[in-house]
Amino acid sequence: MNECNYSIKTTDMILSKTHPFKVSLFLLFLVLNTQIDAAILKGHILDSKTQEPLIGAIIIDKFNENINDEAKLDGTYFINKIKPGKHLFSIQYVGYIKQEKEVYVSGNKDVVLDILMEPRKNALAEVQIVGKLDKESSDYARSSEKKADNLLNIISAKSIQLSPDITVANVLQRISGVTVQKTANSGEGQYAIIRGMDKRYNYTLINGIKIPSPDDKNRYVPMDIFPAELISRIEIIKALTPDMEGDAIGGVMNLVMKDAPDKLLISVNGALGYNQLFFNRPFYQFNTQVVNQKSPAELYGANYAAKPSDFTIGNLKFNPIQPFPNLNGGISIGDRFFNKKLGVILGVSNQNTYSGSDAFVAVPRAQPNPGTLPGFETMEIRTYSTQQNRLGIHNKFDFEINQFNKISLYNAYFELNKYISRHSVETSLSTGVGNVITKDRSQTELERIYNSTLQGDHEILRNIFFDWSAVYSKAWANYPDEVELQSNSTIIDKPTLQSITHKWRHNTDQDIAGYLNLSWKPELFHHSAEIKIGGLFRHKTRNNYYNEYKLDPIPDPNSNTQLFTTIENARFAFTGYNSNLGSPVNQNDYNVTEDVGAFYGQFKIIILNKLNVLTGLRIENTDLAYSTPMPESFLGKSGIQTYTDILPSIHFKYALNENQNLRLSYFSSITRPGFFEVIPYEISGETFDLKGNPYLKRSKAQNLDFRYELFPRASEQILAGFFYKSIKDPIEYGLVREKGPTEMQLKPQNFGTATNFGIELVFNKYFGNFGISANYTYTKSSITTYKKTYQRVNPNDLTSDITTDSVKVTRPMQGQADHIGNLSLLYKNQKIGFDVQLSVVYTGQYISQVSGWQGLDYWSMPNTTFDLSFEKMLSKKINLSIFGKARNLLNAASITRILKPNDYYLPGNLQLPQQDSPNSINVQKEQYGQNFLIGFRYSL
Amino acid sequence: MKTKNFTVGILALMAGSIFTSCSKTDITKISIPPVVIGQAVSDASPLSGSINGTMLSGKTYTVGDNVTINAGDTLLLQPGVTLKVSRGKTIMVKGVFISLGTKTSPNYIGPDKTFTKTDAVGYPAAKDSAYIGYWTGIFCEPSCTLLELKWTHIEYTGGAFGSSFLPTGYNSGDNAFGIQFQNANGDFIMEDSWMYGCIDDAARITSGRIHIMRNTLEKCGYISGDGFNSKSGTVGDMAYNLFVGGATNSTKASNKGGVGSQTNVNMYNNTYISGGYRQSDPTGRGGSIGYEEGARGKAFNNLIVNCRVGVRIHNNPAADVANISYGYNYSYGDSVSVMNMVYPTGPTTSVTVPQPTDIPAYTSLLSNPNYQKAYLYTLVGNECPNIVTPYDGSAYVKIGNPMFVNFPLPMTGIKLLSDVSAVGSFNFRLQSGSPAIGKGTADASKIAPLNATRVTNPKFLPTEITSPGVDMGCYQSNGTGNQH
Repeated sequence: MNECNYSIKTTDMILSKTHPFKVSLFLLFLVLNTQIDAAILKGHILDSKTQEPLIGAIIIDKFNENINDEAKLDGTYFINKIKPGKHLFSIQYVGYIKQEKEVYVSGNKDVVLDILMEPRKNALAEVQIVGKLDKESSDYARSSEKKADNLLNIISAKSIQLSPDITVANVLQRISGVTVQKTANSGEGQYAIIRGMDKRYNYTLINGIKIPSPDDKNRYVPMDIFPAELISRIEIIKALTPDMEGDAIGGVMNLVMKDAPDKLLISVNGALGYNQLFFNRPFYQFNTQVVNQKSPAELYGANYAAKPSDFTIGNLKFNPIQPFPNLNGGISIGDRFFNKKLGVILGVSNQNTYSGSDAFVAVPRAQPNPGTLPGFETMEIRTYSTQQNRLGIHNKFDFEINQFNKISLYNAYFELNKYISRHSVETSLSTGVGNVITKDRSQTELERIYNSTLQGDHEILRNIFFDWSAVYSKAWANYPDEVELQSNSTIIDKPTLQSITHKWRHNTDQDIAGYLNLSWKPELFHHSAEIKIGGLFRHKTRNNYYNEYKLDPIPDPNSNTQLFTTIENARFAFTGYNSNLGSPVNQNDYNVTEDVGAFYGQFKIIILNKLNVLTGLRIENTDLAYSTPMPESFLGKSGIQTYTDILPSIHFKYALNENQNLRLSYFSSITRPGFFEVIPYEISGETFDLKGNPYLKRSKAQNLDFRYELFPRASEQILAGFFYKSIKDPIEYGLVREKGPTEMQLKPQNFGTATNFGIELVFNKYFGNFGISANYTYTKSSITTYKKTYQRVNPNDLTSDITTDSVKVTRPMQGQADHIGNLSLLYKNQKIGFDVQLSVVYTGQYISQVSGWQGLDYWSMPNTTFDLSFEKMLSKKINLSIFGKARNLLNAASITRILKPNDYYLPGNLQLPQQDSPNSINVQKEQYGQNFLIGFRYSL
Repeated sequence: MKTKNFTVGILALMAGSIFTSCSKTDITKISIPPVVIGQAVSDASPLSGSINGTMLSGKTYTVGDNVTINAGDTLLLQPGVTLKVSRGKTIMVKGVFISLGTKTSPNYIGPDKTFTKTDAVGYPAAKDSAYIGYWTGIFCEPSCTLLELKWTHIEYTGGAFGSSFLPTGYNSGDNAFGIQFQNANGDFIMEDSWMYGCIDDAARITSGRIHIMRNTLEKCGYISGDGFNSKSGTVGDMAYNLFVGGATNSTKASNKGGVGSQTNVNMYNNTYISGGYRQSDPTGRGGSIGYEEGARGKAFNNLIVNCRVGVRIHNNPAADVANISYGYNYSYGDSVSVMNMVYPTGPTTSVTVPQPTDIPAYTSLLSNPNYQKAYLYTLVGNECPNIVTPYDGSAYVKIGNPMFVNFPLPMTGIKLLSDVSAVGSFNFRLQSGSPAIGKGTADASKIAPLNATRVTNPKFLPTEITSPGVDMGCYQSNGTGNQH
């Protein structure tokens, strides 16, 4: 960077707050200058050390504030029509020392001036300065990715704010290598698949602390519970270091919550939205207030004989309504007190949304037709109406006792209440072809996560650092009175009422954990090295409750059935002894305690200026015990699983030059089975009963990563990487027959060794006000499992027996898409404060549901969604902006197929609707409608 | 020792003498010792926990709490045993259960309290104690190698499992079947026995080698449920049974579950009265004979009276239509709705082909190409896309009264066909002039017993493998068949 031949004068404006009044001199000069020539002033505003562009840095003529510009995405600025003569420009950027530069313009000669800004050096707290508002910027994200010892991708709060997404789950899909599983009832993202590894292979952190899941069976956390706006940044960590918990094979999602700001900050936003779905049809709402939160057995004791009158019908009355607009609001207040030693931030976000989906579903029979050809039980038109209320509260206190000691207390609470009604009309394709089954289901799903972490950071001796965390976390889920009303009719019979089942289930998962880390940062080979040791202990207790009551219709007089008219007229009774007790002992009930103790040692060193090596070992000890209320005669009434894992890792980072790195990582990691999966239960599932497996082992993986990184400027990057994973004992579900000869069950099993490799490309580039952000991931995994076939012993002999057999089949792992791509086109005009972004997500086809039968897997078809978002500053003075988000612009359908020749489900044969291909069978099609949101954001 | 114990031998001799009565023979009687296995079970106090050994003739035992016959153990009931079961309790069989009742000394397994049977025609099911679901039946785990019931009453089953004792895969609150058998390599023998009242299936044979002959089932299934419901890997015979008022099908075979071997069940010489009417779910299940989802077998010489649905060869999931044969089945109906469903049409769809040997023969359908086997059995991707289309059976209403010894046909004084659900004072034997006599087939090339069970101990062999008889239904005019 050449310094140019201009006289430069720099003044540190922080120290001298008063304006330098050399004004008159320049003013005089300007006045005297009567030439009408005009020139252009242009150049870059960059960080003096890193040469990174400082987007949004302001350059302004001190004597004519109308002459100004902001550095664009690539750091350039451009000011035209500058009159000849001497000018004084002030350049400022948050976290940097303000500069003033004299510029002499002669005639109409353009002037190129690159400005190098010095970060504010402040011995007191360098980290804090770097970390200011900055931490939420994309620049910070890129530089963190660059500086990290291991592989990670970061998405910043600024990117989230501008993104079309309002939940963390949906943000995740913008990150390279991540696909998001959507819920059928609203189309909202829920779980992340990282590099083709299913949700079970990933874990979630808040501020680096693992949080429990409200899921009643599994460890993974539903990512739609987190409102995006409380997040400072999301890190996807794809290579584990020894100081991280070792149970991720795909990756780790770390949600870093917002920190206390440097000075008083109040920001408020509010938005209104609507889903286009409800312009076309009503939202079906049930009365959420009358849902009985507790089952009769919980209210009156386990031996209580329930009466039909104990059950409400209020949640079976569905009113078609035009829903209120979606509401979305948040407030965040933060400040520092006591000489800036105490920082406080409180953020609240609340979202109330009405969404839904219209779906076509062909429900498969448990057993295929001979030849292992798919057979279908029913075809269904399902109409979902889903109200979601999402509340997030977070709060953090940090207190700087002195320059060597800091403590902080962090609290987060997230709540997601879903009220889902489903109306489905099913047409039988099986027994009683053409019969119509009408079902109305209401579900209340209340999920909560609370986390409280007390943390301390201490420099106990020179270069010796000690930090600790004491954690209390709890997750709750409550699904009270899930109920479905069913009536069946045929071409000759009027609808008759069917049995009804009321289900109550709730669960809690509580963690008490402590983390300790001790590090020594000596100077070795003229570079700072680090030796770090530490450990963690976590005590988890998990409780599940389940009860269900089945009631049968009372036959009409002189009839064996009850005609169905309305729910008010429906009459039910218990049949059979004991049935009015519900299911006091149910295979969904269980308690788990799990103690995890882990220790690690790691060592980091920089060799020959260029090579950064981090290596070490982690030892994790797991001690799980479960108990069930099953009778003594039940094999596996209780059990324990204890195991120890030794997990080495090594990470190399080689700096080719200032802005290019080569990285090579190896790490060993595990994935523990879900809590419920190791309990030898059998519960009824949608198509098959599900069975637990007490001998299920954890999956162990060896992971290798290689990545080339180029950071031309801040906010810009080109990453190209390759990864390879070998997973021993991967966990997937396979069909077994262990209950009895007839019933087949889906059981989680370990299946040999799976492999998974892929290529990741990330590209971020800015041209003036335009930016492109793109990433592409290719993944190929393979797993070999047993699958069943159902065919004649001799397919050519029609008299030979039909038999069921097992074959070994190799296929991709569930959830792994070959191709994933993201493309965002960005226009950012700092001057007028206008940002707009068009985002495209492409997800290639993947197995969404593994079938126990050969060739009958469910494949989710390639899907492309377009989203658009913008933000426009309305007033810089009061910092008010308007923003809008439009999601799912094309109302893209989610389509699922069985990849078997469709020779007899095409129109003309068995007339399964929605068929369009002779090579595959369309079994599911969901549409969620476009979502629009518009609102205002204000910050002080 | 009670002389009743000799009855088995005497019966066998008597049966033998019927067939060989053409010549006078000397009579030799020798005593056969009663069958005993292990120790005698004590009747002093209510039973609970693990039990095995022999229950002695004439004694009454009470199952006070759930009992288990462990794998390797056998529980044997000598003739004339009464076994009373407390409410909600289960007899779980992991080993072997044998009940050797006789005609003169039948065994009784039922509630520990007495219910008055309400068998009056038209008594509402909702009030009928038959559907109380008192106890949870005989539940055989897959390790059970033999369940044998001879001349045994099983009554008032179908309760929900309680919280302290659950079979594999069951939750408390789940309704039990009357009998569950689930061992593809085990034997389920049920002869000359009775089942009265249950909530769901009377007997669910999820797999096994079966011999089910000459039994009587009444009031089985409250608002759904089949009589003998067999699933994948079940092989054997269901013959000479009398079914009155079954909720759905009374004999059913399906290959669902896909055990290695295919379901193959013969159903012959059964009598079905007023079956299929207690279905809360009108999805179109059957009302007498059902073959479904990959099952094969043969159905001949059955007498089907006023049942909601006739022989049902299911189209989707399709029975193994290529390997099912049927004919010589006799149908009678008092209403056109019955006669329109002899070959089931919607909502009970089927691919049952009208047979010229059936009585009545639906002559107009026989000549209609749309009801030909070639048409109905068109396989597309191993499926039968064609189903029997509606036809008019009104010409056959009240035609061919089978002339039961005591049962009014056409039904008089009875409001609904479904009002008949028990034998009571009726007698479903055929009068000598019955048109159903001699119309069946005994041609072994058409239908012959599969004789699938593999019991080797001569004491526990089926008493009689009754071959197909030429008289329609379960009662033969020569006295063979159902002995009730």
